[in-house]
Amino acid sequence: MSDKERIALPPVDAKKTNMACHFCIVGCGYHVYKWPEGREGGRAPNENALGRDFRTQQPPLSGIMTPAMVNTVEEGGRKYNVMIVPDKECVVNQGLSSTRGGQMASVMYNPDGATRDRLKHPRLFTGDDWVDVSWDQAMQVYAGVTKRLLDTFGPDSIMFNVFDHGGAGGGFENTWGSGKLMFSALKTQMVRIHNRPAYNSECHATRDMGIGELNNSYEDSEVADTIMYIGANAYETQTNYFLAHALPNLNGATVDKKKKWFKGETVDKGRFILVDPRRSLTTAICEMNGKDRVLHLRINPGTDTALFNGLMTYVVDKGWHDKDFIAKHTSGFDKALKANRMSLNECAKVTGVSVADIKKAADWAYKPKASGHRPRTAHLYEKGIIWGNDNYRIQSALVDLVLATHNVGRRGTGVCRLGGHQEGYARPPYPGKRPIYIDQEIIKGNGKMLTVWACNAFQSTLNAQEYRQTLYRRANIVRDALAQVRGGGVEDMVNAIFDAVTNRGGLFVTTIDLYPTKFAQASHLMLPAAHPGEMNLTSMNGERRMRLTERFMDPPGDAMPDCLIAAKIANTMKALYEEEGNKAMAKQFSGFDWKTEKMPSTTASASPRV
Amino acid sequence: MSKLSRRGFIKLGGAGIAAGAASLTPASALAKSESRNPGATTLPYPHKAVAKVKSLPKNKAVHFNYPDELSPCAVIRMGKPVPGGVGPNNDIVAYSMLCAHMGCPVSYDPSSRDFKCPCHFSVFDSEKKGQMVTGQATENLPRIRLEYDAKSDSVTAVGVNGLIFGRQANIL
Repeated sequence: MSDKERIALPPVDAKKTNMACHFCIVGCGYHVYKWPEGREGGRAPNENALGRDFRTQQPPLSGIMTPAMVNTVEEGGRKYNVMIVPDKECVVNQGLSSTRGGQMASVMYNPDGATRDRLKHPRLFTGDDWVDVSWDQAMQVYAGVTKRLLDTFGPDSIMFNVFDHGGAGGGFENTWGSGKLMFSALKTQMVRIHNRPAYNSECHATRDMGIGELNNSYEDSEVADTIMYIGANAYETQTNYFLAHALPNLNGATVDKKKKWFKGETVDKGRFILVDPRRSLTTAICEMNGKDRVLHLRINPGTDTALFNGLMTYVVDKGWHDKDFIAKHTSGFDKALKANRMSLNECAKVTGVSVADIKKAADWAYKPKASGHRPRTAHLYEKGIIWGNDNYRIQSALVDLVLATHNVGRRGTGVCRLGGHQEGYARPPYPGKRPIYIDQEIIKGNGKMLTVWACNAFQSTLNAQEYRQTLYRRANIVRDALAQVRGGGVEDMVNAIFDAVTNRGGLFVTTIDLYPTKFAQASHLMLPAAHPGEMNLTSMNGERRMRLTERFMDPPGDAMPDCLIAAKIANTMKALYEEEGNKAMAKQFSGFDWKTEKMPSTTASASPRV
Repeated sequence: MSKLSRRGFIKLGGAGIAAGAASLTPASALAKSESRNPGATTLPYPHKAVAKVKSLPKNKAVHFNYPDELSPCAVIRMGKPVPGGVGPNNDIVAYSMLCAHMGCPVSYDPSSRDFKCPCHFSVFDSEKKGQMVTGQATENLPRIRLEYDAKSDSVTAVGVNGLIFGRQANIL
């Protein structure tokens, strides 16, 4: 927020590049305009790169340009102005900006601005203080310790907390680079994902039932008869998906499209069902836009399974399920129905929702339309049902209902995560048999080094207090050891760290991030990473649309993309093994001779672990 | 420096040096501010009488335009002192009525004492210098700077804090 009363316009010859917002899964399209500091465009439309006439007041909705959308950045030692504004032509956001994406320019590195605290160089804790060091020095310590541990104890001693997504702190390039290091070179299974204590999906149930969790497009929300939001707050967390694609359906703005697409079917304004114990901002906004077409099922927390089982029972008793689809594409339907049968009264008692409202929800979502066609209902869910110890059962019950009513694989339907961050998963297969509860291993005293890569488990793990206390205690053993060799060389440090983690229960901790995080306070080495715009980056949004960002500025100092950090680690390891003539291990760390973040020609990709 | 040549801003470089030397002030401000006062670092806001305090009803938006006829604003006598408030009770504030997000006209809600935008549902607090309470703007609602003259019991608009939507500079 600023009190600025004027901003610089890009001149007509400003360099224009593409950028996808990196703050949420929607991946809105933006344009970056960049031009040398000291120059400005004029206010006439032929004098600025936006082609807009600022000699007069611009009308509402004519394009956003705010003080938060400008900044001054550096490239090649020169300063440039940048303006980052939403792209009207982008089919995802259609010119809209959220309060997050609207501030992308503000979060670009500016040594004189709010981002001045970015990590610029590797930083090493030398016993009593942090000092900036070169990449070579940092790698000698990091790879030196890694090699000693790998040779002595094997890969299980080397642990990672690591991103697996798209957008900032992710992207296909970076998940591949880090994955190749962890899974192909180090071959460690002691890895957990940024927001969960093991290397697992948040949506096992839907996958076990044969349905990937991203299975429709944003356009489906425009043409659905009914959208059921479950444990989601779409206005605040998938803002422009909600504003550009869902809300127009509620308002009736997409009725013509429905008529065109679904000839002969009864179509009308959309209806929204919101399953949420809270009255969120999304609920309030939906009600403002059509109270009679919005139903808020304010269930008791944790009773989603009962709601879906109650709906399923009612729907089948009414005969609204799709018998052909069930017969052709599912197995065990009768058994599932028998096991999960729940009367409306019982459902109402458990969920706290009235029988009348449960019936109303079923009417809106599953009752055949006047034309006789099956309604098109999109089921869109998020943290409210995926983050909890009961998520497997909840998602199973939801997908049961969706399959029974054939609300997947048709336009206007889908049973999808709305998502948090973007996706961008491309890694070799996880080398373990099944995910390991890494945080518990650390609490138990296992593992000897931990690399925390673009995440912060202090803020996001289970049993965070004990985890944090244990981690500090074990990290401090290494800090004490480093204090004993204060002033020593790299070899002294590696020896001291190895002794502390081998003989005294210590844990050597490295963080790789944009900023010194809370986790970094417990670490011994920080490595500076880059984010979109400082590198070319490829991601995927919640409808599996590829999102591309072009590099337009330098990362601060010596910071570099995560994939190139992975390469630097691997190449140092390779050199160490070559030095001692260990050809087999040198080969294990080969294939990282990347000069840029551009994707290698062959990658083994797996499903995104959303 | 292979980086420089690879990214190739040579064509911008020459022009940049020439234009950079010319001025650090936005070209748009030149027409009015520099022609009047070449050393000015502020925009030449007009002083415009907004209302007599006695005539202002409590907790109701009274509309006016500032700094020109294309910029709708509202002045409100909040009825209790608020940050940035002027007048005998430090309770008079004024704001641009164009949402800081995409310029839709906001409306004042006396019950919640905030401004609401119908387009993308941003809400701005009239009692906290236009701070966004919720919504998609990246800025607060621009605040009209007011001065109070006790002698004439009048409130005058003298400037704007924040960029009015749809403008490169607040003075066209």
